Amino acid sequence: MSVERTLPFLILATVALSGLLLGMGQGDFEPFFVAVLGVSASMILVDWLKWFRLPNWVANLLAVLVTILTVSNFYFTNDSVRHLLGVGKLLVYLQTILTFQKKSARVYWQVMVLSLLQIVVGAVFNLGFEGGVLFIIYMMIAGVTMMVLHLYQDRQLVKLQNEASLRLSNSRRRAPEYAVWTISTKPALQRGVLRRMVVAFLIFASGALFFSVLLFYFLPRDNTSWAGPKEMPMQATGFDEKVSMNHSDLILLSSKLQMNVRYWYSGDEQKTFQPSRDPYLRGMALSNLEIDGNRTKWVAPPYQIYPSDFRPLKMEATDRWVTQEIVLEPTDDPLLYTAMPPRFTSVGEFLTDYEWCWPLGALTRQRSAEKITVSHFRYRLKIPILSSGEFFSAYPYVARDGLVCLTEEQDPGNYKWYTYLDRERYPTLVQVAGEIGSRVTGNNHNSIARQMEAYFKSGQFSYTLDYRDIDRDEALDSVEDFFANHRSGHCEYYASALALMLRSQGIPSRLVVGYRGGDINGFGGHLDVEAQHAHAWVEAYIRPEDCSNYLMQTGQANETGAWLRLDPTPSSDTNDQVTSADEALDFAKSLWRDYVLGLQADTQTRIVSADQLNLSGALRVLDLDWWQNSLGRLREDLQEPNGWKRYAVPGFIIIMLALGLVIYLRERAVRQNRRKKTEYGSLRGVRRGIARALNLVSPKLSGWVVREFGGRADEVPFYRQMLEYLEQAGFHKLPQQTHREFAESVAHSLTKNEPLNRLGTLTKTITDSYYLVRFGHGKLDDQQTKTVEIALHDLQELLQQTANS
Amino acid sequence: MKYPRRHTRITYEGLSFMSVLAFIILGAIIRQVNLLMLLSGLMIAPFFFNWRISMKMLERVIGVRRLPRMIFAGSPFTVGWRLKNSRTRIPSWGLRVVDRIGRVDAKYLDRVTVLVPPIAPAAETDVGYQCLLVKRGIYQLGPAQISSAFPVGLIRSKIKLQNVETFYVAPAIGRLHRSWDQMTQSLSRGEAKKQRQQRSETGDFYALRPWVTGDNPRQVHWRSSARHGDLMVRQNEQQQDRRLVLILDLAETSQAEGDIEMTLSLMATIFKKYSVGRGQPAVGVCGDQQWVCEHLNGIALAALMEVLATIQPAESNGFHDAWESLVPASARARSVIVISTRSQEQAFAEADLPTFRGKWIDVTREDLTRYFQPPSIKPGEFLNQIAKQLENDA
Repeated sequence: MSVERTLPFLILATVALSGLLLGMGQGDFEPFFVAVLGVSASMILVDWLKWFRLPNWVANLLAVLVTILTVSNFYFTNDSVRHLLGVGKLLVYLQTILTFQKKSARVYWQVMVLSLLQIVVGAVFNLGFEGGVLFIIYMMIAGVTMMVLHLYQDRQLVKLQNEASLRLSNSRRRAPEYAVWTISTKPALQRGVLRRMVVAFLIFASGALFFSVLLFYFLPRDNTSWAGPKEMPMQATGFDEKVSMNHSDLILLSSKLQMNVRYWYSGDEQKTFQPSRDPYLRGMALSNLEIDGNRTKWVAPPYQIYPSDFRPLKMEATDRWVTQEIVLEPTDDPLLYTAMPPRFTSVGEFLTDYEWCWPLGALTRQRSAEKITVSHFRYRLKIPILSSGEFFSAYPYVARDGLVCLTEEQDPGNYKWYTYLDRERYPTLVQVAGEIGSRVTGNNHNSIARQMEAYFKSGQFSYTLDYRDIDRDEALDSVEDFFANHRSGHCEYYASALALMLRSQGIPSRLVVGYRGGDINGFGGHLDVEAQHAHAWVEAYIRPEDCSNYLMQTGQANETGAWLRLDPTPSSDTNDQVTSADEALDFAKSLWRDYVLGLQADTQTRIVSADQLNLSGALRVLDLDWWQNSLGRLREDLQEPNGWKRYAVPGFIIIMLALGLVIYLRERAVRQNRRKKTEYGSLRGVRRGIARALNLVSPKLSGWVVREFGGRADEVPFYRQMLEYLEQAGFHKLPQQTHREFAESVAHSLTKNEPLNRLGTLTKTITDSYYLVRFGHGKLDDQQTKTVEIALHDLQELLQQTANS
Repeated sequence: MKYPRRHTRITYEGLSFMSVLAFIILGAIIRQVNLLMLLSGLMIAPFFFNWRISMKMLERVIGVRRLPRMIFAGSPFTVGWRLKNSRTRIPSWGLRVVDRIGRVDAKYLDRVTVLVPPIAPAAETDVGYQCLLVKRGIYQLGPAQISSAFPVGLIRSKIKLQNVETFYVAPAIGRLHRSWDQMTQSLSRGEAKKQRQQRSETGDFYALRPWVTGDNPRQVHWRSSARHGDLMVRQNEQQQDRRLVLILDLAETSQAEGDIEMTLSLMATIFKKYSVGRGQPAVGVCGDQQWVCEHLNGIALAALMEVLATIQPAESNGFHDAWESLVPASARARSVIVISTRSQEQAFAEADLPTFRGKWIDVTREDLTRYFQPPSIKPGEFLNQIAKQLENDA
């Protein structure tokens, strides 16, 4: 396939990929469709069918109009995201307009540049792993396209040159003096050239990749990497999570990755902690029970949340703890997930822009940040663990208004809230709860709660997500129907039922949504938490008097009681088999996220040691902070009265400047000499004068001066003399002529004048002697010197005679 | 061997690429956008490698221009380039030769670009371009440069060759009619007949020369003929030289202004014809340059064509010297053809009109198209022909 045919398809691929990447970044695939349709249409209509093409002026006018329209929109909004979206679309429109012009190498190149700029805009929006793969593919295709474009450009150049020559030759206005046609050479590849070319391309691509990776990891960074420009108001999202027991027939499992979780023993990141049981990654508590027809709904408190409801996490001394690092997939939800109870790792160790929202019982990103970026979010927390290597199953209750318990006496408002129940709706459930409660002596809430939890795991219930074969009583409340009749359901049913049972016994409880467990990634050693790991469980308030000693001693409860985690859902076998391919893909995604998109100063320091970073001094010039710090330090040093740097630094700078000046002047002189090859500088003029003066006394001495003091090639005195005589007679040596060529041309001209025929011989004689002196580094013997002198004399005489005649 | 120094230049594409790159690097560093950092790395790499590779492509590469020995106006010729890659391991890709062409006194020279196919290591390749020059004169080729922007065209490396060549373009060659041959043959026949009558077998042996029509077969020296593969005859001292004498007399006259080029074209055609045959004529050219030659052989023809390339009419054009030199009184019997821009009377205005056997062609009075068909120089047709030919080849 010829270059001319291949290039449009490569351009189409490049444009499509850049449009796709832009679309992926912006979350809007309009640019992709516009780009692909536009370029395809131009290929068909303009290049193939040749129906029409936009004249340059029309294309320029359209481009200006589109630009004005896009830019004018910038004045109506200050949203930088909208500006970026506008710029991205503008690039695609301009690109499409370009493709409807007559194709030339320059037009193709401009399309490539616009495509590259689309990638830039797409990159600013940050691309996920899939985007990263496309990005690499794009770069490879763009590289090949550039190579083909370069070949195309060369061919076009020759073609245009030939056409211009033909046009000029056929022109009736001006008769051309000559016509030139470049013979187009087909790329007749010699043996082995193609193989070497492929090898060279592979080396080139590998080298480029290696170089860019090296540069990428050595470029100095500060602590925060760019997370993308998308921002959304915090109040608008994250708090409308609810659990509604509707009658879905089938719930499909989703393997969409939600987050990666990694644990390690604090102080040693290499020492991974594997929890003995699946960790419960708590999201938020749904404590508000609502009834919607025959459906039970759990929602977050509907009232306004005040800034005072957000409190920073406590920093408590704990004996045993692990560091939990969670990387959330891009989301604008401020809700964070964590094993309980979360603590700071240490002040200043890592980002601390999250806090505890009391009414929601949820960890959120810090409220002071009014907007939240839609990007990967990484956070670390300190999680206490038990000596058995398990996370806490309960955590201390902290009241909103100080040290009070969640009891009817001390906090009646919240108690009422957490024990609200319409007993009429759930007769069976209430009845069974009463039976269980009655079996426990001393009304120990802890024991009642655990027995109720155990009730669900006694084998009477089964876990299912598929209701298609289950007969359900639409007249009953869905939870009551579940509990009393079919006894098949998923975690939300179990959690709802248990929470309602607890409430029926006066035990404050709430539904909690979050994630439980995840797939262990063998490559990265972390948990891949997917949508299918979403879970609901129950938190029951345990009065301090009901808390066991164990709970108290291990810090899981305190004097105001504890929230006890209860998970009534029996285990299921619904999880898909996780293949190593899935693991590898997840691992690759996490690598892309951690080491490309989210590479920060600390990660960089881990990858590239500090020494190596210091070695990359040349790259430090790109670090503005480094410049600022270095200059600041230098200023301080210079201001120090007794410091050696006070004198050494200026001295060094002066020396370097002087050195630079000398080098500059030398280079300048060399350049000037090169430029003025045929001219004489002032120094050369003086030397020539001396040589000529000496020549009157002794040609040998004159020649020695010229040779030893680096005279010009034509400053061999007798040759110079000959040149002067000939110049007077009208023969000028052209710069491009060699000395012998000049002699031959003179001889040839002279032979046309019969009387001067002899002069040809004279010039040749002198030139031969000149070659001997100049290039043979030889000296003329007496006889040769005499011959040259005679020849010069004769030459002068004959030329004078000719001039007189 | 010393190879020319290599230079580097950023192309238009490279400049726009650099601008985008600078923008990306700035954005990447100021906002710490990792993807942009990666992108900038991926963009710097081609830039860097383009520089190194394009420089490498020109390492130990030499190019030599090749020109035909004689160039005539209106006749296409090929300017050839032989490029040699002296490296032993790496081929040369994406080479481009940019030559310059124009009249030697022109202010600007036109550029001609020739693409070079890949050259394998330690190999050479021939490329070239076709050229047609309309007017006679001195032209210049070069300085040329060999460049490469392989592989992506962002940076172009080049070597400048100081191979400036001036070359002469002789007047256009036409086609002689039969009338010219008839005229010269009639002159020769008359001459031959007379000489046969006068020829004596006596006289000292002078030299061997090729046989010409009219020579006595007895004079053939068979041994030498066998050695040369051509008939050779003995030439004695007394033998009269009966070769043709051709004289071009370009005198500055107002009437002849328009006929000069056609006259020169005719002369070039005649000279070219006679230089390859036997009986090399004696030639004299008189104008602002004078050139006299006893035997117009191939070597002399090249020099003669150079004279014809630049000669102009002159008032004192040395005609009499040439006449005396080529047609001395003792050899007036030679067949002489003078093509002149004036009449014989004007030429010998201050001297007695000589009697000579031959013809005086005054271009101001005689129609030269009687003797030859002047060349029709149409560069457009020539280029169209090439274009069609290449199209057919494709």
